[in-house]
Amino acid sequence: MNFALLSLAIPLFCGLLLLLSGRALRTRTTGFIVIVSTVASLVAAWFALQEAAAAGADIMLNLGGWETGLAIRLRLSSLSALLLVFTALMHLLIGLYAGLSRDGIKRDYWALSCFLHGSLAALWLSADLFNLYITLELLGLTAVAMVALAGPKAYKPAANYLILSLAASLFYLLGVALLYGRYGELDVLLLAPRTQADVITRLALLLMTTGLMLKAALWPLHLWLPPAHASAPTAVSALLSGLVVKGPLFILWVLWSEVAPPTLAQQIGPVLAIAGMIALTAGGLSAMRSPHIKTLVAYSTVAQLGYALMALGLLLTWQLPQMHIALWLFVIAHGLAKASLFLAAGEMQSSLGTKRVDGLRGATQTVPVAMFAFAVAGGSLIGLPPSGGFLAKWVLLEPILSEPGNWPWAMGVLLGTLVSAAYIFRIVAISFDRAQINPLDINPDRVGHWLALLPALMVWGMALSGEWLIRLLAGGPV
Amino acid sequence: MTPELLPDLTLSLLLLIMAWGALYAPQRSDAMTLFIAFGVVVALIWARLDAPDLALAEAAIGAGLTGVLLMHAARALPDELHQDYRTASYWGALGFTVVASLMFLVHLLYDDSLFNAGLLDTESDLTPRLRTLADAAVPESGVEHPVTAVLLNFRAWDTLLELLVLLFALGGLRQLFPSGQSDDSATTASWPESMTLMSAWTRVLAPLLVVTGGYLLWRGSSAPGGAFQAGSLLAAAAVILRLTGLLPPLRWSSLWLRLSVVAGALFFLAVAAATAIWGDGWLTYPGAYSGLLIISIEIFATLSIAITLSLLVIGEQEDLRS
Amino acid sequence: MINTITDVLGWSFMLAGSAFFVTAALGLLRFPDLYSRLHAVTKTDTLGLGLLALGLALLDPSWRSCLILLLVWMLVMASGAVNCQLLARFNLEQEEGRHGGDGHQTGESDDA
Repeated sequence: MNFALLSLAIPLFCGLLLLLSGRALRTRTTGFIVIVSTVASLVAAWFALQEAAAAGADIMLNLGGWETGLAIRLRLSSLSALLLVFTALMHLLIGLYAGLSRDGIKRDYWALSCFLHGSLAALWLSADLFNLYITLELLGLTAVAMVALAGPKAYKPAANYLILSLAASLFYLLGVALLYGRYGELDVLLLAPRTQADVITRLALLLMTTGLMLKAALWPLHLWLPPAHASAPTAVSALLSGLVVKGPLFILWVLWSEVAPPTLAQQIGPVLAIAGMIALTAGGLSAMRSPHIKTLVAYSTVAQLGYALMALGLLLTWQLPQMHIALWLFVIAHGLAKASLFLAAGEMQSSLGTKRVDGLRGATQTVPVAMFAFAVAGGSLIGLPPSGGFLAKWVLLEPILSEPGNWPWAMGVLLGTLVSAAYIFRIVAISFDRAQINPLDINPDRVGHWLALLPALMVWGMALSGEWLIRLLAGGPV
Repeated sequence: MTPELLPDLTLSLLLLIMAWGALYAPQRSDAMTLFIAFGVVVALIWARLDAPDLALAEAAIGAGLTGVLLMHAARALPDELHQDYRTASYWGALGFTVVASLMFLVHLLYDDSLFNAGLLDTESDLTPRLRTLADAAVPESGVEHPVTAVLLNFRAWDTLLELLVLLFALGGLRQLFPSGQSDDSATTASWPESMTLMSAWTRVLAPLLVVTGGYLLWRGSSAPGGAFQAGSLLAAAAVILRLTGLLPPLRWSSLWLRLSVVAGALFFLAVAAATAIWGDGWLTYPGAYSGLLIISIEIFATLSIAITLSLLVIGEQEDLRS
Repeated sequence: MINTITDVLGWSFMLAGSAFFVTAALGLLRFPDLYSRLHAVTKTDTLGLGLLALGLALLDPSWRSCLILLLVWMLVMASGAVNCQLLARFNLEQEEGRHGGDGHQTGESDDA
């Protein structure tokens, strides 16, 4: 457990010390310090993962040494350890890009990204509904601050994001208060066997679900996401799409698969799965029509979250705990692929001097590496084998295809795949248009392009360790 | 019917009227005044509910500091903005209310447990288990007051994260001021002549606030009070002093300011890490020192809360970006 | 016997105090301009609160609560007087010069 806590404490300490240091350090040095601390956090998270995998069961820690119920409990499961590793890895990849690419980034990015890392780590480890609320608040505040890093043009999306995020938090908090009033417990595992399908529980779960879906930008509460993610600085967009929206999703999963009574979960399951299917199509169609590169990528996040929502819905409908493997594989594959997409999109934007999709004409010739990164990451979003996206989709389809009665759901997955392919190929097709090449605006930054490719290569590498990941998520011996 | 019901009902009614007025007052200044009054009524209600610590925090932050913040913001806003915003938000709010109440109704009708099992029966089996657990553990916590024990011992992790919430809010605010150039035009606000009286009165009020803040902090271990209340009172003192120009600008470039902003969270986190490395576990205070640790955490937290809150309220370009 | 006398006295002081508050509210609503309204509010506030405090002190005649009530009364009286002066002076300045000063808005909320 101490390794997990170390992985959580390092970024928090680093962020606080950076705030304290003010302007004493140069921005480059700051970036270097943050990258080093992220590596340290990654190593600690890796050891935590080993520990969790070796333990076989969840490791619980009663904070303060108080008895269960009174204390806040932290839970290190193989999933939360994996998510710790994933978070640190994403921060490392994006931090490397932010530090080494030519454009650079504002000094405050570094402290904020440390805080974001710490908040996410606290969220993955928490097993207490109220504590989860505070981590949600932390997550929302840092995310808003990071959107505002882009300067005055991002203030309006950031303000909308802030207000919606606060409203969503209040929904969640009201639900927590109702559950606490009804059962007198806040601990997830103590609450789990006691919940009944009565009015207060229903109302509480409904309120919390609304708040969490709003925070995770799950269809139909996604409208704030594209402007906020598209207007943020490139590295921030990558962090927001790849990581931040996954936090509320985690709580949603905990809430419905553990806290909610199974009868209620079975009722809500199909609703969530259908919302996921609609998200896949509607988000994908919006992405296809969007004229700007970054907005397209942001809408693709809305669409891809549909897969996760669908996996969650089907998990609840059939009460199949194995489905959570598909859910979290989607989350990890999407996080890596989306980081690559946003970084590549940002690099292409600055190299070509245009924000519009039409401006990508001939991009295969002018910015080949970035375009390659975009295509490779897009391949994982579509689910081309042997990418991480394919792995997740395979695990999702397995139980769907095994029963003829479940085949309609497979249509949803198929539709989603087609739409994803459509918006990715739209970009790729334009980039191969070498008849009217859009010339380079500035000399491209080679390092940045290669760094954008890195997460995309990792998501394809995920398939190589697929069996290991699946066994890890299943909770078995690794 | 008890006689206490009358003031309670009056307060509840007043609260609703204030809320309605704050939302739908035609003038922005009226709405703001009503919102401040709303904060005062909420504070009174907390006091009626036997939660004096919440009442204090609400009065200081909900009514006092938020009031200053609103007035500050109103000065910077153009007048016509108000109208547009209202119509848009009005329809949004209406639609939302309709949808939400429909969802709620469907939800209730879908389920008959309201009538069978009943909402009212559940109260009998609602055992305040956590309450008894907490009360039993208070003597071991190092402080006497149960609220302080919960905040700084049983659920110290929550409080640590809450301190970070405040800090992150400040981090977000800093992004609203572009770095580098600072325009001198905004720095010198012209005070009207009558402000001399104001500053004289502030010279009396501020020491009183500081003394009260210190008292609340000290008292927190045995009675309602503690770091948050003390911090918000100190912040109020700092805000008044700053507004009357008696306090120099709180400059972010000064190391002491940054140190006091992060001191609370940093010290708390250091305690957590130290207990994890050398002690019995993350935030498990060693028994003999728990009282001492809690009071030192509270002192640092008070400092951080006070400075952070005052920066959040009156932080301007030259404060946050110099 | 003493008890009942102080009780009666205490309650009648409190009633009188409340009556002053009512007149203050009436004055605030009915008086024509800022200065007379300020007059109504502050004067009756001071007196009304004083009477209330006196009545409460008679009902609970321990030294501690008497002292606290006295302090409360003095603090409210002082801040009321200062606020009244601030508002009136600010308004006067505005009427005379029509210049300078939007600082008043921030000034008046400090005692909330």
